[in-house]
Parts: sequence; C-alpha cells; structure tokens
Amino acid sequence: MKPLPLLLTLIGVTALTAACLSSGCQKDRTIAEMTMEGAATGSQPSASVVVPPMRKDGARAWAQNCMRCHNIRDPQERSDREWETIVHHMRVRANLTAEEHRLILEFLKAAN
Amino acid sequence: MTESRTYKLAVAVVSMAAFAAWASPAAAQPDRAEEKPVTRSEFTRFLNDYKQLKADVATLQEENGQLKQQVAELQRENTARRQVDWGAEFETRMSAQRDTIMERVRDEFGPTLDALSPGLTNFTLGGAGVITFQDRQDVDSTFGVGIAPTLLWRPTDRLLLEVEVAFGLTSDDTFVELDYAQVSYLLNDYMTIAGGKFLIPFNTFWERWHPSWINKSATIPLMYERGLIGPTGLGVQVRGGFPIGNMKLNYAAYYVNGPDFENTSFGTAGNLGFENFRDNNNDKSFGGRIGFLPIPELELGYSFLTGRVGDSGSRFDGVDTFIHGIDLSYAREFEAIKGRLDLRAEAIWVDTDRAVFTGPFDPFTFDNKRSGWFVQAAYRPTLSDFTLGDGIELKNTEFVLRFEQVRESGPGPRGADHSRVTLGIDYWIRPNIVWKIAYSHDNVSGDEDENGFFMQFAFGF
Repeated sequence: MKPLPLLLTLIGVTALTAACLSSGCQKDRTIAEMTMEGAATGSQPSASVVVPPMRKDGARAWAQNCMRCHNIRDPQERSDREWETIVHHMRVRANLTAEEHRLILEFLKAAN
Repeated sequence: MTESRTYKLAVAVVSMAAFAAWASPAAAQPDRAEEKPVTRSEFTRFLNDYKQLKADVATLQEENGQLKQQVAELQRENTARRQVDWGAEFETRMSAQRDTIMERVRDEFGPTLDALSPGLTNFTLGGAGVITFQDRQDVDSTFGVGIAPTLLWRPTDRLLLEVEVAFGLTSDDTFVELDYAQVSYLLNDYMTIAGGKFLIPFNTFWERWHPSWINKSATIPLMYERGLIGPTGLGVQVRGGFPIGNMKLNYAAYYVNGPDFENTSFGTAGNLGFENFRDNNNDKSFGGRIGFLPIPELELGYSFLTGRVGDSGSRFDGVDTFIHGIDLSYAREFEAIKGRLDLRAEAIWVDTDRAVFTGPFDPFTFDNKRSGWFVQAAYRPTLSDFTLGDGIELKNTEFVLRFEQVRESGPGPRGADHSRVTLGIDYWIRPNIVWKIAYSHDNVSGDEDENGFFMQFAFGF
C-alpha cells in the first residue's frame, strides 16, 4: 500500500489539533470541563450528575477516560459494589493508572 | 335686730317648706301625657321592633352554636395532630437509633461479612445487544440480531474474571460463541497480568470500541471486516499505564498462539486466521502496543504482532508474519462548532512470507502483503438547543463520516483494491442506546462494488 494518503490525513489531523490547541482553541472546554459544567447546565447526556468541588479530579478523570471511547454513563445506573467491579474492568481494558482508578471510583460512589 | 333676724329666718323656713311641699312627688301635679293610651300604630311599631330583636337574638344564638361546634372540632383535630406528631417523632428517634446501630454493625462486622461472601457481592452483568438491517448491492436484504452479555466477577480487590458470550444467528442457524474469557490480576499500580482468550490490544478498535453501542458507525471498518487482524488472542499478557508529568503512557505486551495460515483455497490462500485455539505450531506469537497521550483528549498508538504462522511439519513450516499498525483518537467539545468532534484513524500493514500454493488450481505464489486504513470523523452538536417536534433534540444526533481502503496482493481479483466511503447518522436515545443508519459507497477495482444501506438499533447494558 502507498501510505501517502493515510499519512497525509493523519498529519493533517494532528496538525489541525496542534494548531487548535496552540492558537486559542484553549478557550473551548475540554470534555471534562464540559461534563462538570454540563452537570449544572444539562448540556451533557448525564446532566443529572452533581459534582462536588472535592470530586473534580475524579469527575475529570472519569470524563477524560470514559468519553474517549463511549458516552459517559449515569453514575446512578449502578451501585457502589457494581462500580467497584466495572471500574476494575475498565482499568484493565483502558489501561487506567492506579490513581485514575481510585479517583474515578471515588467520584462514582459519591455521585450515585 | 334680733327680732328682725328671727323674722327673716321664719320667712325663709316657711318659704323652704312651701317649696318642698310644691316639689315633692306627692304634691306634684300628675303628668297627663303618661296616662294617655298607646296608639295602635305605636303598638304595632313596638311589636315589630320586638320581633326583629327576637329574630336577631335567635340568629346570634345559632351563630354562637356553630362557632362552638367549630371550636370543638378544632380542639379534636389539634388533639389528634398532637398524637400523630408524637408518633412521627417517636419513629424518627427510633430510625436514628436504628441507623446508628446499623452503622456500628457495618463498621465492626462489614469487612468480615464481605470476606465471607465475595462471590455474591462482586458479580456484575453488562454487555451489548444489536438489531440490524442491511441491504447490500447484489445481496438479498436481511435483518439480524445479536446479544453479548458480559459477566464480571471480582473475588478480591486485585482479581477479576471476565466472560463474554455472544448469541446470534447465521443464515440458517443460531450460534453461541465465546467472545472472550479473561482472568486478570492487578500486580501493582503500574502492571496487570492477564490470561485467557482476550480482546487483542492491537490498535484500539477490537479492544475498546467494537461493541455496537460504542462503534459510532453501523458498519465495522473494512480492514477488520476483511480480517487483517483478528479480534482476540489466546495466551497471556501484561499491561498498564502510568503518568509522565501531565502526559500519560500506556502499554500492553502479549504472548499468544497467534494466527495460522490459510493455504488450501485459492480465494483465501495466504490469509491469516485468528481462531487458532489449538496452536498449529510450537512457535508462539509476540505482540504489543504502546499508547501515548500528550494531552488527555489525544491518544497515539503503535502496535505490532509477529510470529510463525505455518503448520508445523508442513512445507509452510517456516512461514512467518509481521503485522504492525498505528492508531489515533481525538475527542473534544468546541464552542465554535457548538458540539463535540471525535476523530479516529487506524492503519495496519501485514507482511507474510512468500509461499507457493498448490491445490486444485495452478500453483502460484505472490508477494503476500495486505494493508488497510480508515479515517473516521464524528460530530455531535452537544451544545445546540434546537429541538424538532416532541422531544427530538439536535444535540442527540451524531453525524459520522468514514473513509477507508484495503489493498491486498494476489493473483486475479484477490489483488483488488477496495475503498469505501460511509456516511451515517446516529440518534442517541440515551447515552447507551442508539439508532444508527448509514450508507456505504464502495469501489472495488476489478470486481463488483458492494454499496449498502444499513440500520442498527444498539444498546449497552
């Protein structure tokens, strides 16, 4: 295969991303920020989530890692026990760090 | 002088006596008006006044009676309310005491009870399901269905067992397939060891977003449909992730049976098979993936897999393969476009040793290389407030566009290039329930195109 079209596309996407990040698109909110603010504004699917300030790191880790692949699920869908198992499962599947595992689990338990 | 004074006094006394006699009632003249008889009209007026007063008194008495009744009712209600309040207060106090006792019991005995019942309390059911409809060019249209429940069991804080079984239909039968069965153990903060049949950490599609409620398109990428890399490996792996300042690195390395080698059919000779559950040789395959996240929204990955694929003892014994790939994912919400942008791109190159194939066809050989790539962009106007009709919100709609290509070497039509553009629209009923439609425009060089229309109703649970 001639990888040129693919490489050009990838380079273009990466360049677009980098340009955006370095030229003012920082004003735009990240997924995590939107999720935390969206908790109040309803702009995200799981708008019922109320994020206490102390749980911001957990909410950020939750949004950044989960939304990279799929929509975030409502913390109230599962019990604490179930979240312990599911977050363990996702730690293995998505290569979460131990700290991310702890923060996300704390957040989900506080929010459900 | 004295006589004069006595005289004056006598005159005064007589005068006073005379006045007293005149002023006394007995001496007064009787009032002739009081002795006059009451006229008929006066009597009637007085009688009417009397009746009016009597009626007023009766009304007042009736109102007084009603007020007394109301007061009595209020007093009864007040008494009853006081009794109810007392009961509620009692219940509240008892509830608080009960909570306190339960809290103490949990604190004291909870860990012991948890340890005694690990299997029941850490069992979780998840998974995905899908109902499909597809209408491809030159193929009869059809519905389909598949449900894949995932069972998770976490006996301890470090150990996790995962099993996913898929139930579905083929053209004339049902099938039950073990998607994966994996046991993993958290060795430390940075490393997990796992074994079994697991989703292969090569690029990200199979491992992270192949479930139909996660995959934003109604179709899977062409290079996975054509089997450039399979979904699972059977063996062991180590994996983990760790931060590097504000960035993050993740890794996976695995040692598996690896693919086997198709050599009996002209149409598939030279392809790799990934359902090699009873290994066809003693050489295992080794592979891995490195993922790098310079910012949380962007992940770049490199993957490889290498190993011997030919059957041991056969003339293909020495045939090896080397597969490698790259992947990119980026997701972020932008105010400027009022929504969320999700970009994903992957590529795979497969390089298998040259071999000579014989069979009920003329012997042939070819430079056995296959490759494929796709770039997918999805946009969802999450910041839009536009609604259409009753409850249909634009922010729940997602537009998906994917460009892709697979190039394969080989004799005749096997060497055709296959490119495809797929445009899809998703409507998210809930974060885990989606309705998808898509149209694929195919271009197969030297062969029939496979344009198609697809619908999916997918859900995760």
